[in-house]
Amino acid sequence: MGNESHTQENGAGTASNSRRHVLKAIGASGAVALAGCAGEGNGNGNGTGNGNGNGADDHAPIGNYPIEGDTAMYGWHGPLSGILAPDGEEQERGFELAIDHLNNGGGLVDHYDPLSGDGVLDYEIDYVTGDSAGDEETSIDNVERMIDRDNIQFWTGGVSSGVCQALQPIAQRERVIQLTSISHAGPITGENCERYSFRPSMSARTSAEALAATLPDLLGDDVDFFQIYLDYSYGISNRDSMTELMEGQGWNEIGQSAIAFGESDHSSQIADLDEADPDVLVFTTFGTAMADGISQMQEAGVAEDIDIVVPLLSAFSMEPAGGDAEGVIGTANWHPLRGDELSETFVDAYMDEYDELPGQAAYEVYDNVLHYSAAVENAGTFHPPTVVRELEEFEWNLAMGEMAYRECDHQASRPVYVCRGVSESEQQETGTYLELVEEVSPEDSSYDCDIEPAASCEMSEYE
Amino acid sequence: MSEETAQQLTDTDAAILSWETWDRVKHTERFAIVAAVVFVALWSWLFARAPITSELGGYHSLATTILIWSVFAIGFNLLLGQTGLLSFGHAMFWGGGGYAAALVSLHVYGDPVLMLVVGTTFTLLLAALTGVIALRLHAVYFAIITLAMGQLLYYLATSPLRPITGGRNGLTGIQLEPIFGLVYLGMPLPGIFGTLWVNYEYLLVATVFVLVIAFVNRIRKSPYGLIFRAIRENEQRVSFVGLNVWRYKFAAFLMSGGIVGLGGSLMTIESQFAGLGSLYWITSGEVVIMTVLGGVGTLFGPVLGAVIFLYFEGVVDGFPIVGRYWLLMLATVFTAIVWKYPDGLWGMLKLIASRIRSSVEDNP
Repeated sequence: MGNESHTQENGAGTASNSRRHVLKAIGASGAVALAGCAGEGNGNGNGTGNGNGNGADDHAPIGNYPIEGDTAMYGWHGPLSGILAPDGEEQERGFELAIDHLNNGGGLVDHYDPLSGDGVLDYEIDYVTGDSAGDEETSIDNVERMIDRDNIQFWTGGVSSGVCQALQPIAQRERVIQLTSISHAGPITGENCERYSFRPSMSARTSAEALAATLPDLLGDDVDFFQIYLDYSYGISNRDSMTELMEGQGWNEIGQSAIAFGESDHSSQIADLDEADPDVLVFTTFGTAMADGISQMQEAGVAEDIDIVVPLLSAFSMEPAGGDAEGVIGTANWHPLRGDELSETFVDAYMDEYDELPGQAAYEVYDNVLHYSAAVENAGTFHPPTVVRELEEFEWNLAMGEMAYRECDHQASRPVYVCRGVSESEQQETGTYLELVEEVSPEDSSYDCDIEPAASCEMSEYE
Repeated sequence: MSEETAQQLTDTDAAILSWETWDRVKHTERFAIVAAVVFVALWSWLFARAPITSELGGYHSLATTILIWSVFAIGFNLLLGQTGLLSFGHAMFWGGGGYAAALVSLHVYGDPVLMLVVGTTFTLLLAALTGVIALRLHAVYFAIITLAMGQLLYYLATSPLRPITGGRNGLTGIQLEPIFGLVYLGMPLPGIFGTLWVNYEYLLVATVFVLVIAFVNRIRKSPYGLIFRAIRENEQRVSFVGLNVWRYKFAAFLMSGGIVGLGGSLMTIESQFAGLGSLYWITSGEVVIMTVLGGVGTLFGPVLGAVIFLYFEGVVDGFPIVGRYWLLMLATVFTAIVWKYPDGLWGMLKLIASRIRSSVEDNP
């Protein structure tokens, strides 16, 4: 099978090959390898000397380490069906592009010192993908498959916060690193935090900090605002952060109205909104629900005098809303027309491959693959606890700007891109749903480790 | 009897291998249990690691998940296949057991056995409560009220009970303690056991599986189970004989709910997560599909159904390109099999076996 299995064209096929390879090895060596996993420390020292010069470090086997053969597996897992699919599809494309660049050079790999464009640590990178369908149980099954059968070293991707939170304990239990993306709820880097899970993207609090730093300039100082939010952790953590931080800016919250997840009829919330008569509506929602909500507000005639803020904006919300979301303000992890050299390099590479402008979802996953690989190169090994320690003090500066993980909660301190929805004709013209209004620096969007949600994070163990 | 066997042994090999012996043995209770033990002993290895069969793409955690869903389907089949009651709300027991097990581990202690006991006890209570209401109705009305009660529980867990159930996010952070304070379920097994069963978790799941098979088989072979079947065939006649039909139905409902709750608790142990999906009506539908696909009213049919269903969901789903059409492919397979063999896969296997047998017997 040797050389043929290294191409990344059919991820799943090659994955099962490498898995079987490993399993045969386990079978052959009896349970020696398994006993080693238990940490019995009987000095069997396997993992060394697997013939390609990579296994020189003598760490005990843990997670999917050591790697057998000369191919390392990466995983992407996110929504390809269901309402979150627009972002999932972008993520998958960004992911595949990143793998291609890692193996063959190109894109940002050529501009990022730790990476060679010839694999990672002399390993060729292969990959598998899985469709989360935005569903927790399906996701658990899929990720177990990717870890168990396909031997992934790390995975990234995903949109739903609920799915993300269900997968974090698996990363910890299996000692396989997870880099989350888009998932916005506070608890991911709060009470639900895990040693093997990192969030490079914004948390609800990061977005709220950035909005608190910009909204008064954009919409005025003495503002009455009203909140409509999805009644589960994504909506609630955004609601709480917005209340606290906007009131801190002198804004005045005059009411709240919850909407059940999965409900498309916003009429009772719109009635509450109309009665309260605020200047600004903070609308924490996503996907078709956002599109439905905004179009219903327009039909009811309440949207004209109100500025709408949706704390997290992405393709899965903007695509169904179309031109209705013109003027909506929110935050994003990245903007393709940021104008810096690295973003342009990425956009060019992506457009060459897929012939469309990438959104934040595509870039974020691309960035995750690259900075994880850079951490591996810096650590000199795929050994998971070593890579975790490396990531905990990892800083990088690619197309999203100055990024750094913090050890206390594994949240990245990072720039936030405050954006505004554009009209349908501008969408056609620019190929993007959002215009960049302001870039908020990491200093202005970060919060201390002793503030919620970070304060609730109790880190789990390394090994 | 033992003399007879001994004599047969000395006589000829053909005597023990004769069809008569087989026909006698295969209907014994012990045979079903031995078959179940052999099956679970080899299942994970054959599915995920054996030289040829694992080429199909199976993997160990799916092998475990399949056994757990099999428990679900076997429990469901006790009601549908044995007693003839079609419930469309069995997700309430599956999810209810799962949530109860998750809550006890979060708030009290995470011993897996405690989780199983609490999960099962909770579902028994739930089944008693819902059974009293649902069993007043018949046929399609019964199916509808169970569906409605299942969805009621789903909505309760979604919003009003969110402080307890975690709402849409479900319950995470479930920590398992060592079983009986002895060993963590994730610990690998040594030597040949590791090759066959990988870890202690599989042993626990396999043990529960065999116990459930043994229990359901006991019911099937007992006079009590015979009355279940009589109710399925003709409820009115059973009541004319003087038996209290409601009581038997209630007992079947309780047992079915309890077994399903046991499976649900196992699922929580396996995934360390309890979520709304487990309570959703689609889950109730999936177990109906598994059972009908495998063979309603048979002992091992639901297991076969679970294997096929989860193979599509867990393996075919990951195939390049065609993978995203797994549900369509499963639907095609389901329709084809149920159309050709109304007794499901198990019926199909029996038919094939009997054809082979008669052709062998015709040409000795």
